[in-house]
Amino acid sequence: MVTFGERWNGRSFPDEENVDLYVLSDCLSDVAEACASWITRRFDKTGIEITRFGSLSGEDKILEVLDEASRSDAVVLHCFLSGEFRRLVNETCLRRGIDRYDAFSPVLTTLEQTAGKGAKEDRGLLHPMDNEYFRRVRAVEYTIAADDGGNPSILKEADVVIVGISRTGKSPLCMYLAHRGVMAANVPLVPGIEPPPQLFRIPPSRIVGLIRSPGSLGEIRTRRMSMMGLAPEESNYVRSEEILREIEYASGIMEHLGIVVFDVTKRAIEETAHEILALLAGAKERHSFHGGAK
Amino acid sequence: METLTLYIVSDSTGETAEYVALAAISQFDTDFSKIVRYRYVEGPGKIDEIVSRAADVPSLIVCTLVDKHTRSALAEKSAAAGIPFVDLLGPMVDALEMRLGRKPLQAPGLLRKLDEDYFRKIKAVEFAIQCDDGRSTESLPDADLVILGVSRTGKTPLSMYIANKGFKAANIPLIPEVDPPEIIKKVPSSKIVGLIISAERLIQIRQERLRLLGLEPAASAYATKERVERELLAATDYLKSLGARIYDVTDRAVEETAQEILDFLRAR
Repeated sequence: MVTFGERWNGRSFPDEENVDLYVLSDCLSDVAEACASWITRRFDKTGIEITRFGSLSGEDKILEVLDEASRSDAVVLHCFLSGEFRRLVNETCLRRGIDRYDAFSPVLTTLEQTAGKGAKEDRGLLHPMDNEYFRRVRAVEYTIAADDGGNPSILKEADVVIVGISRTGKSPLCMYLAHRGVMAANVPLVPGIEPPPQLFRIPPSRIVGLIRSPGSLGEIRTRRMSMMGLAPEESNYVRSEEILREIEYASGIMEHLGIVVFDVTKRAIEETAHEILALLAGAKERHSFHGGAK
Repeated sequence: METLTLYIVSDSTGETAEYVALAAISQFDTDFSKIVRYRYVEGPGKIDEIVSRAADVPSLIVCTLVDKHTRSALAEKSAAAGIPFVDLLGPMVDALEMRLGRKPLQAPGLLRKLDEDYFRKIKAVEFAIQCDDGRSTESLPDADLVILGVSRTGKTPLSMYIANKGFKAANIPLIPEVDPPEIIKKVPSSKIVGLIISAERLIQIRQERLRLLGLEPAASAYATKERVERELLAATDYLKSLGARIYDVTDRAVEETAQEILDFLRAR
């Protein structure tokens, strides 16, 4: 067993093909999950085997998990609101030579020093049911009602309307925005089907268009059809001339509307979402304090 | 603590740092002036600007950066300016780099990959929208999770939250006059959860709902004590008969319940 200190001091050890990562948390499991996912993405999601232990609420269970971690020479990543559990995990890992990273303490301790007092360790404070909370819930409900061109009569209530052809990721993008409290509607652009007249009465600053390269669209649509058990090659849906026609049609409408257009080829939903959030914040404030975006 | 500006510096979206920092900040009486995000920071070029802006007001800098050079430059300059600084997950990346014997990917290209997770998430969100509020019940056997509950227990936001994490969630309202679809019996009980809530709280929520719809709460049975109590009793009985795991959502945020459910789904 090589301790973290020994590794740190450069003691040689064989490179491992795979590392077991144990992710421990109490009520902070979503925070722990975000950290674990950040880490694995950095290593191309390979070579790191994650085992999750969330909602841990007893010392015995925690010690049992750490026993197992020690046996399998796992690395521990933990995120606990409870200071008692944090100390227990840190001390046990140190004593038993388990590599561990405490994801919550660095920020918390820094804040404690700045504030000159201890954290409250109250899980009720994590997710306050305040106005902001109810705004998010309303946004989610609205976004479902206004998904895929549904209920055009409520389009005018939207904070943002997303338009684009099929498979540009409108729905997931809207749902992501809704969870950030944005009432996001989406309207599909389909050649031969007129968009609802209400769309043309929305100020262009509140409409965003999505486009994707023909190659990427073809790939996604083929995949989609195979998933549904259909033969892609026989369908118009994936034929490149048809895709080009759809893109041309959509671009025409977007130009007519005079809206901002994002190319979502090779882009994560989060990335596009953050740009839209910045755009909306900018529209509200006119001077955006959004830093390093391109 | 009066006000604090949170500076997030990341080589990708900065969401992870924001998650951690906001959870920590919630545990203090802190007023926020704002969060300033520097995303897709690829090298030390922006560091001077970040630090000099952060030095103007009481600030905390939290970074999630892979590049060691950028990280240490930020650490040094923050320290020199007397700004509290946290290198989040950096030490963990370093430790894993040593164990795995290979270098981490340098952002930002890595987020952009349209990989399995990306498609899984898209599919999950589409599924949840399609199967919201008892629709498309024929798809229930494909669900990772089926959420049941009486009206206004928060099924929809919960489904969507869970879908955003890549799990296919359906939700079905329990309405006394309408039997739940037969197909629910084909769903293993481990995939079924039920939401219950205290009668007092549900009455309140329903009254608010009626007012929002421009109706007089007293004019409808929907929000009366008798009706609500009966609905909840019947729902609890039914959920037990299905062997569903039951969550009490009284005064609990969607995120809290979602997290417990996600812990369960991910542990499988």
